[in-house]
Amino acid sequence: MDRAQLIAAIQNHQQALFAIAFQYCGNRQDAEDVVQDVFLKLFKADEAFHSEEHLRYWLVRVTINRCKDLLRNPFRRLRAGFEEAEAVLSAPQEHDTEVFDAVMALPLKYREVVMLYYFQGYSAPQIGMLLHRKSSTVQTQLMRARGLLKEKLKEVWNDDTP
Amino acid sequence: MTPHELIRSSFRSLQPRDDLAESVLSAAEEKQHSHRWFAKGLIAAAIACCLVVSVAAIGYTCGWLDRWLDTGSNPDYFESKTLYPQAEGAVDGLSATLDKFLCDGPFIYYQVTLHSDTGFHSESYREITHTVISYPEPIPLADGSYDYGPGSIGSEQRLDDGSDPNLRTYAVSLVLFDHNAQRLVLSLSRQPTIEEADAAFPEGVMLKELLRYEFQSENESYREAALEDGTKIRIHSLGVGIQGYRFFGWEDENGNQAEGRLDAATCGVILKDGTKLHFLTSSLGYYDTVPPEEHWNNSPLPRVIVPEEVVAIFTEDAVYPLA
Repeated sequence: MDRAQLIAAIQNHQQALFAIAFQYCGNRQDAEDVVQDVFLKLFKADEAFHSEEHLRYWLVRVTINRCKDLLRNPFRRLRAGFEEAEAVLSAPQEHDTEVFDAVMALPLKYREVVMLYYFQGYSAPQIGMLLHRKSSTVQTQLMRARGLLKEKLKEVWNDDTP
Repeated sequence: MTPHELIRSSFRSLQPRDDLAESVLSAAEEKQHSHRWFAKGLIAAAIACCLVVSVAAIGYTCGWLDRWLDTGSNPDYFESKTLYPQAEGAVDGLSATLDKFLCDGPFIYYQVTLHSDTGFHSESYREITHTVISYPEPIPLADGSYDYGPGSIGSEQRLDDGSDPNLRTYAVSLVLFDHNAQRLVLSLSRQPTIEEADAAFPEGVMLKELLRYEFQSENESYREAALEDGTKIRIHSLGVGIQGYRFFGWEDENGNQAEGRLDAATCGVILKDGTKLHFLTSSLGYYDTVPPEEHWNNSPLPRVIVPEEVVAIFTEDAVYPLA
């Protein structure tokens, strides 16, 4: 990948990747390190991307893997509290911090499917491929995550999906 | 708002730092740069390895690798071409070249190549390799090296196979070296033929036998000799030890056998004028009473005396007057 392509990829995907990385790491520094590593991998990768969607899938997949590697590392930075995490939000709306807190309070296995489903827009089968889980498992986890969010956000969470 | 919009809105405001793109690009370039250097280093190391292997292969093929591995760590190792000048041409066109001289711990090895233009031998040269122990014994020094001298090594080498009595026998007769074996000199001598020896030294005198036997093997048959008191003895062996001792054995008329060792430093001959000449390891003759160190420094070649001058042989504990 040449420099121009890398710049374009960074501009198009850094925010989404950062959000994914943040929901895993829980702090800005680790998340930024992860995103930087992912783009460096992209720069060195010999892979030929036949579409923008292919590139995005690849980036998300590598970001998730990198985050999981980081979580397994016993020497990683201590996780910051949500209060500190909220501080990274730029110009949040009133309901933003509430939703943000609710999502970040979910167990990781629910949080990651929620982020991929609602934030990235992937379907359950796609999430299953990304996380190496069965589609039915993803659907179950989504259902339970919705339940938890609805319980927490009440009227803010307006979702009729079972 | 739908759940999708809610979550996107919440997390959209989660922005990475502004210079993330720059830092990624900068790190990418840095990595690329370091990869280039790493690749160059790898290539350089591979070339260096190839060179080392090639040189080792060539060295192994040529034989000097073994020699270097064997002796390279020994600071005493050196090659010398030094020849004692008087040795060259001293004997009928025979010249000698010192090819190798190796001090390995307390041991000294040397190899001498003799060249002859007289055609006395079917081969133009012959290599002589002796393993000898220096004389006197080398002194270990504090730094692990040895002080070898001054000392001398007597060695001999027949250049013919003995089948033709008319062939002259040449020999490396004397090897001298100074302190720490820094210099090696070499002289040649020609062993007299049987006829020459008989003509020069009539039978029946022990001294003559000694001179005669200087180069003889210990397996030579005995010779008769007579001492001044009329005692006749048979000298049945005489040899030069590697450390400079002369071993000889004799028996008297009654068959009593004895064996003695003449230490080079404590035995020799007494001349008519009373001068005592000490034997040393040289097979050419005798040294006078000048201490060996001075003698070697000033006059490496031994002085050949006239046998008639000799009136007695002395050892450490006895004097044998000659008839």
